[in-house]
Amino acid sequence: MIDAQSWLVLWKLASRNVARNRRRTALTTLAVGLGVWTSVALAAFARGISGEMADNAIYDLTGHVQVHHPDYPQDPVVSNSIPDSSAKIMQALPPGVVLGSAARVRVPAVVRSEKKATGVTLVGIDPDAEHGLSFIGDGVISGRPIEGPDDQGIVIGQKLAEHLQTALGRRVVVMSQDVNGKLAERGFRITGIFDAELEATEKAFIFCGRGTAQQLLGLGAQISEISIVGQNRDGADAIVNAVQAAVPEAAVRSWRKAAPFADALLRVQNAFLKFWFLIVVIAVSFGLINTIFMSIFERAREFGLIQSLGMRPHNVIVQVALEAFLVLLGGMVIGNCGAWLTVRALSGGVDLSRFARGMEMMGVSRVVYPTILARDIITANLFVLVLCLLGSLYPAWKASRLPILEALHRTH
Amino acid sequence: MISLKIAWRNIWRSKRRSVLTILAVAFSCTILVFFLSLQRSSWEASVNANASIFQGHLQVQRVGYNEFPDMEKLISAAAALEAQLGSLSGVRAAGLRAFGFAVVSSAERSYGAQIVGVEPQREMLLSTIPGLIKSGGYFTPGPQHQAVIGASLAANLKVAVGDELTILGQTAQGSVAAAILKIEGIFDTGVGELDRNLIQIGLADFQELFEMPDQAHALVINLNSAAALPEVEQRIKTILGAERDLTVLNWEQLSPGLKQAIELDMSFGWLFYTSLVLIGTFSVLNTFLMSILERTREYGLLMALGLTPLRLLSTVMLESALLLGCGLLAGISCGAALVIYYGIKGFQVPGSEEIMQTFNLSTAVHPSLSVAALTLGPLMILFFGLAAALLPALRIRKISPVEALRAI
Repeated sequence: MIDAQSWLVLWKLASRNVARNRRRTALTTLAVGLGVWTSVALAAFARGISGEMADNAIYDLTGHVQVHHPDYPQDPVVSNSIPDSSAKIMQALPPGVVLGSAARVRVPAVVRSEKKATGVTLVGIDPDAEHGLSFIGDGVISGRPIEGPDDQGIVIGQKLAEHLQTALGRRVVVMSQDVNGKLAERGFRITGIFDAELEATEKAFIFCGRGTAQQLLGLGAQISEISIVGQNRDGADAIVNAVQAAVPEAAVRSWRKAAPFADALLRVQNAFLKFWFLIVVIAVSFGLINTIFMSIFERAREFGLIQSLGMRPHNVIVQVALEAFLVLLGGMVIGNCGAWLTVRALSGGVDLSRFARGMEMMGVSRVVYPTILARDIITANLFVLVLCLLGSLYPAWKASRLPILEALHRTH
Repeated sequence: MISLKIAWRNIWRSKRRSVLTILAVAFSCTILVFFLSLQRSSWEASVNANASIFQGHLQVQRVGYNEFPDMEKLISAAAALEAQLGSLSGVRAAGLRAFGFAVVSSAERSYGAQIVGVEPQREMLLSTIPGLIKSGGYFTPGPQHQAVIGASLAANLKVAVGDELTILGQTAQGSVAAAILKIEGIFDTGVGELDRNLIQIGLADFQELFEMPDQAHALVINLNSAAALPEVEQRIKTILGAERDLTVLNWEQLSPGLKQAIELDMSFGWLFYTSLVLIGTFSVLNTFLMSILERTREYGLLMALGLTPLRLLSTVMLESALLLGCGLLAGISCGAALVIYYGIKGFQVPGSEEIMQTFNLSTAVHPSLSVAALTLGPLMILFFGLAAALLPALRIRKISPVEALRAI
């Protein structure tokens, strides 16, 4: 419909027209840029919070994929145990897909100091396997960490120690039900105290060697769960399928099922950000359309002239749309660069200590690191480009239908 | 008056441009009004839900109990205090609670749980738990050693109404507190922490079991209206005085996490709103600028006829203010209409069920109109909009009539 040469002419016309009124072009470009900039930067901030929340939940002994006895998720007791099939699972997975797996004993228990008692979750770990998989593998610890599956000591959280009014080196009694339904009870010396990102975590878990826990509870070689950590959150579903095929008798679930709150928040956020991008684009497009209209009406004489010289109406539409495209392109460049610079400037993290307890409630630590996701950049820019171009078609169509003779008679 | 007329006519000289500008303002304004109302209502709902499920509007405790809830931090002569504060005007109900930790065992299972001593008759007015019984009932007057427990805990312990539970705890003095309880009812609040952890027993049973006669850990107070909270709080403070070692806590102190989560949400919201207003401002800035530039000749003429630059400037500002005003009025009306519509129908964010439950909220938010939500957003738009109008309007001062008359 439009040959190469016409394109070239239209392109020239459009680019020169855009350069004609510099101030107006600059202002419109800035408005578009501001829209893209705030969209991408705010999205990066929101993603920083939610990503951290999901990762905290995963690092909180959840992992990307979990393997349990089919009844364990509803009824997490000692008798719903499974044999340790870690080796079999790791063999079934292609190399490089997962960072590692950890087999744990994990049961409800009561811990009692001289002063107080409280309900906790007792976790028996093999410390070598936890490294990089959960906070306890790398947690800041005073005293010493659990040193092997048969370590006889116990490691508790800082907040729990305060709550129980006990300290490093003192003794606590741990009570839990064994496989026969009897109350198993044992004294432990506190050999280490961990410091987690979230206070709730510090209050919820106590750690001992896996072998020690198995012995206390009469589990033999059985365990409660296997937690697997892959390269990233999105790869979890593929791992679930592979693992389920390897251990068909067990219940295999991804972090989405194990940490439903984090998953729900991520999904709501996705929807909200898309909605917000749309709102921003609509706000931007009003100004853009108005500006294009003004630029058209002050050039009404010109449009009449070139059309009387033989330019077809659809070429007028293309020319005006091209002008809009150039402005949008400029705005997008400014906006994305601005957002990138903002996030770079904040790459040291934004300290939200003022809201520490509110953040804690959502499972986020006090420092947030804005993260730009490719999908946000693509969505925000695509929305701006497509919707604003569509919006520009309205004035472009008007421009193609200006009455030629009248336009030629106009003096301004 | 004539300025107003001129301004109004100027607006409608270019209809399309004015309509688009009004629409732009109205759009941002609608979004701001609706979102702010929605946000405020969901905070209010979460604060109310938080208060009504278990916490109450106000609590009197021993100083320090809230930070570190130790058994021995007790309110003594509790019944007298309850009677005194319960009779204050504005107070709907006041009831005592005592808290302890115990190992709870059924025939098959054992779990650690929080034991709460309550006064059943008063609890009906203090908490929604009595209304959330899913099987059995909420305490029958008379027999001792009844228990009402959370649904998840009941499932974990594999017990039903009528079964017996053994509890084993420790008194403040360090001696053993043990009893056999009969399950009278099972409640399901939907709040994991309560359903998993809580066992309620009669306060008298609790005081006997844990050896703390006429003592309790908290006096929970519900008001007839949350609006009276600061006033009642102040009066209780005066009554407690300094010597009794007791303190009164409001919801912000009892749930600091909730308060900060709201503040965080508010700060976040304003980041988004400000960005929207700024974008809107830039959009109209261009329009204002163009409309002044294209009328240079006209302004030159008016000035040649003797109109002072100040008068011209005020006409131009009036024009912008009228445009903004129309947009804001339209936006406030649309926003209010949306708020009223969703206030009746309920606004549900798709996929938000889990989040709402975690924060003790019903899944649909019913926004309601408030002065703050109706005015804060529009005022912000007005402020930025007028600034955007003033910037190009100041150019008028630089116009020289002779040159302007030659401009086209």
